[in-house]
Amino acid sequence: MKLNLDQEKPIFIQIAEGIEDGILTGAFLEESQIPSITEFSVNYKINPATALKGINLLVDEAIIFKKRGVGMFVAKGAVSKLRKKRQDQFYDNYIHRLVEEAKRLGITSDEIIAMIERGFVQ
Amino acid sequence: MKKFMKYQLRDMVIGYSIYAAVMILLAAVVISVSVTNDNVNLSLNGNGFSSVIFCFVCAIAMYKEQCQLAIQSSISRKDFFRSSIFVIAILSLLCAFVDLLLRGISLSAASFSAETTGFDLSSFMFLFYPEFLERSSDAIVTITGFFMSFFICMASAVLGFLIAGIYCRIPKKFRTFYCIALPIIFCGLTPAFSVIAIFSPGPVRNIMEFLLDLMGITSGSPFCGMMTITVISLLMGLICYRILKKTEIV
Amino acid sequence: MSRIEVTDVSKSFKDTQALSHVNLQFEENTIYGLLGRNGAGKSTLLNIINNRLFATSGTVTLDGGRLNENTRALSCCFLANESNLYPEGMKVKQALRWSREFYPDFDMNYAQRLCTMFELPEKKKIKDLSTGYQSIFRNIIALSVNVRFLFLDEPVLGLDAHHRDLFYRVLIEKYAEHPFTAVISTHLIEEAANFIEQVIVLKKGEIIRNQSIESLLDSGYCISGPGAQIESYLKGKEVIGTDTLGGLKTAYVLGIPDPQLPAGTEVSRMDLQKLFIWLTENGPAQPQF
Repeated sequence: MKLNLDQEKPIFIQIAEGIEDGILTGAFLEESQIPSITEFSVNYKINPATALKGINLLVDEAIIFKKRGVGMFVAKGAVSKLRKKRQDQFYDNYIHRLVEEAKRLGITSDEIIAMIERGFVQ
Repeated sequence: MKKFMKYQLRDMVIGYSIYAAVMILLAAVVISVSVTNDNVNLSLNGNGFSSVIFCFVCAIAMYKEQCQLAIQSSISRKDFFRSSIFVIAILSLLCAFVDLLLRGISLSAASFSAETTGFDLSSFMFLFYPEFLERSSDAIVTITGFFMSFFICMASAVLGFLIAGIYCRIPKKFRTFYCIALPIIFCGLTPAFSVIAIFSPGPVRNIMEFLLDLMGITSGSPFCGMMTITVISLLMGLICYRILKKTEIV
Repeated sequence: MSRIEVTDVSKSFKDTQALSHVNLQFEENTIYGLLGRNGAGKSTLLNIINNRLFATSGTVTLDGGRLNENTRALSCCFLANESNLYPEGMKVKQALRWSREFYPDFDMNYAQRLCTMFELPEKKKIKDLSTGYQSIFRNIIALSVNVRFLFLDEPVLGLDAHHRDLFYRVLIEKYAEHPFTAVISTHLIEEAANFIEQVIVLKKGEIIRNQSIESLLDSGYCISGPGAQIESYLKGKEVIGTDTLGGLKTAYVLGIPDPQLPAGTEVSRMDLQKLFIWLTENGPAQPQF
């Protein structure tokens, strides 16, 4: 998980999204432990409060739960929860930008659809 | 204060042990040579002075080395000063004890050989209060001598502290000048005073008599002298404290 | 809640006014960044707080009690700056040993682990260490004293990239496990920006900014795009800097971006370095909070 510290996106959001990616790709399995706040902050040289803020976003969405005295774990059903969330956000995150760029380049919607179908075949 | 005092004591004890060992060794050498050779009559004069100089030098070194360490280690200047005065007092006591020991050695050596006059503890006593020495018993002389040594060493140490304190306070550019000027002033005081005495005997004589009175030399009382030395030490200490309080460390 | 209050502190030397009417609070368990150009007064301020220099006027208190010349209060603080105030001839090992005496919460095991980590030879005399290693030595002591308020004056000065990285990691790990207050004065803004919480900017002895790093970064934005579009957009805005590369222009603007942006332009977060340079060179005439 790489942090882009100059980016528009605040660091704590990048932390949250990075963990989400890890859960979706299987790097963090359901009901397994994720690294501690200390490990996150030391690894990325960020303030622990920032790391905590990012993780708390996921705790609020019930993607992560904390076990007192032990650590933080991926919740059961996190994968499907995340998939749904990302599916809902798909249009805003990808489609919108794709269409904007296509308009800039003068690509028609039919051409885009053909490209998408090509993408699924490969 | 206590934690820094531990550091200062440790530092001081090392220096003192070397000093004591050297003094005792010297004394032993002198005595054994005197005792074994009847024609040779050695005496160690001015051993009282060596303690004074040692305390003086120790105090200067102590201030310079430790003042910055103390302030850096979150110790206030007041606590550093208090701790230092304690350590100086202990040092003066220990040096007076060395003087006492040397006197003891000399006395016992004198009992061995008639020709060995040995040397006398507290040369100050000998110099300034000879009648007191004569009319008092050995025990009284020893005890008085011990305390006299203590007070003089203490005063000398406080003076050393004050000199170091001034050094640390004055701007860097004046420091070399200060180091050169000091010994000149010290060594020049006596001849300067003598010159003034020659050319204006009247008022100078009054001052001299007053000083002798203060030191108890005219009355022949060492206790008066000890009082005066204590007062002088207190004054110097006060000045030193005021200077320390204004010293900035960068 | 433990806190240090700096109230109306001014400091003047013979011919310069190093600090003017500085008012600050340092709360517990927070990392502060003290930023400013060379000669802005950062070191002077840190020295005054830690009883090395005396303020010409004003007071510094810890939990309401005077901090100046108060051993009890001062033992809750530690300053590591470039002065080497250890006695001539003292070795690293001895310095560690005496630090343990002077600071009751000093962690000797931790200090020795750090010495190994940074490859600092314990048997060497302090004055024989290179400049970089003298910094490392002071940092190791600073990290091991376990005081409530730690002041670090340019802690990574002279450190190579590897040691800088290591220092930040060690500092953050320590802070994550046992929070304390750290006040770090530095020039390397970008490295520090990710872990400092509150930023204090000093300019010519005055505080011109004292706020959280988020709010400081949110005080402006960066907009880039075709030169002409940017130019017209910038009209009437407070611009603190621009970069031009051919037809592409990037501008750093204070305030909030317009809801409608010109075509082809993109908005991103304000660059802290640029903001800092502007603040300390031209900057606002009046301090703002």
